[in-house]
Amino acid sequence: MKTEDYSDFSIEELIDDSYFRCWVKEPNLENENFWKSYLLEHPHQEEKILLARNLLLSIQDHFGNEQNMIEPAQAKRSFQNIVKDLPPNHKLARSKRKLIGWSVVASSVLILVICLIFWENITPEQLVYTTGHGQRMELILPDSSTVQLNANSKLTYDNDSWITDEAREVLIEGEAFFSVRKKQAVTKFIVHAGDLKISVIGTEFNVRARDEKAQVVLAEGKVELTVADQHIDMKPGDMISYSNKQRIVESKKVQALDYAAWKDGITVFNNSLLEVTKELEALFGVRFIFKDKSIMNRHIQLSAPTDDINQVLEILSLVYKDEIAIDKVDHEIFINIPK
Amino acid sequence: MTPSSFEAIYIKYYAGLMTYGKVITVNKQMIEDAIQEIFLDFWKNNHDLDSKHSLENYLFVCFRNRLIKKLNSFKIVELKFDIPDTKDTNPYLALEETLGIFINQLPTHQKEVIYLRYYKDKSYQEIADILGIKYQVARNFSYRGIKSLKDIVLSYKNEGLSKAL
Repeated sequence: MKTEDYSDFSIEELIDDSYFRCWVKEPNLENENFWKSYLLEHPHQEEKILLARNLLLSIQDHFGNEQNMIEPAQAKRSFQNIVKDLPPNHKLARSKRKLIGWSVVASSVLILVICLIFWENITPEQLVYTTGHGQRMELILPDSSTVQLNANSKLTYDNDSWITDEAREVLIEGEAFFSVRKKQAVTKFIVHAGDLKISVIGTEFNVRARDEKAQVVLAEGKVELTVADQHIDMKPGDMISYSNKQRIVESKKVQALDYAAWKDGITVFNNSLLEVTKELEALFGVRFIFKDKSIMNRHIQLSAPTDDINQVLEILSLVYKDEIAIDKVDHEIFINIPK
Repeated sequence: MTPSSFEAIYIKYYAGLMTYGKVITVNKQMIEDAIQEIFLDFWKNNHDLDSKHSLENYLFVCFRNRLIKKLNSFKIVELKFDIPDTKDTNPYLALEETLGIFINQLPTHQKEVIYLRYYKDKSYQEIADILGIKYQVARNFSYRGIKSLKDIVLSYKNEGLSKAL
């Protein structure tokens, strides 16, 4: 058992102490006991210790989130690129069987890692995945359906019922692209997004539920939508949106690819400037302030990188330089008409 | 080094190198290029990566040198947000997310040291070796980086903003 006295330690020294870091990152019975009793015996140091702990956890989360965004598939794609460039006699021999083996290993590792990371934040049966501003994540569900989570989004599901095959149900807040696997035993896959209930068998679609508005765009297959007691059968290219406040269901034909492009790194904006800025606020945690409200309704058509707010703003101000002036101060963004 | 262990090493360290690269630059393409280039070189020169004592540290050194060389040879304008004034920091952001913004705002060296020390749990000697700086300098970078972050958290607390979160 450790007996060190930490009373002279500053926060900077404490966070740098390996025994302290071990407790925060890999708590075990021994160090948990030590720090708990240390806190009891030195209550006046509690603030310092908890602050150092929070700081360390935040740093870990920050880089951990970054690293988790990188999917094993991305590493593999990258590796494929260099295989092309290797000298011919050095070409790597790979059997197909091995490739499958790898993807199974990689996806199990991904699931395992994600489960471990979120283990602490969950009630016994609920699994919750969240992304921060400017972050994306790819998940593989127990039935090997995949979900791509856009920034500032949250996916929740009840793990037990998935394992026992009762139902395949998830709840989405924010934006996600689902690629649902057809199951042999036909249990429907159900997504709850705001007041929308989306039931599918095997299909690909994009869902967004923010600010009491929910929207589904079907890319492929068939979807059965339940909203405000109505049942709607969707076809590829259909967009259904619903506003909780106004209780209006809207149906439209759209370019489905545009609504799912964000998952491949490009976000397509095709909306009023006001709606576009609202979307950017949700994705990046920034704030827009209109100094001149007359341009709010200007229609914007733009493709920009999904992950970088700076590039989005740069492209926006380039394309619309005669009509819109953008001024960033701290992380508030002022919109005006050019003088 | 067999082709399969070469591929395994590539895939194992890719995400870590990518994350480290993002600490240094926002230019993802350049990070990707640097990773591919160093591995191509290892392969062409028949480098025996399997036998390296601490492979991760070795990769970090090679990768970092390559990335910085590329960045220096290529003039890019890196747009960055100015450091937000804590007084009118967006109250909708949770403290952890805000801290992420501030980590990104730290001088690159401090950010690198914080990443290596507090995320990768490297010793100061290892950090000094990777960055090519002196042991004491590595310690100073760490101290200053943590101090900045601590000050931000404290100023949040004092202004009671964290209660509103």
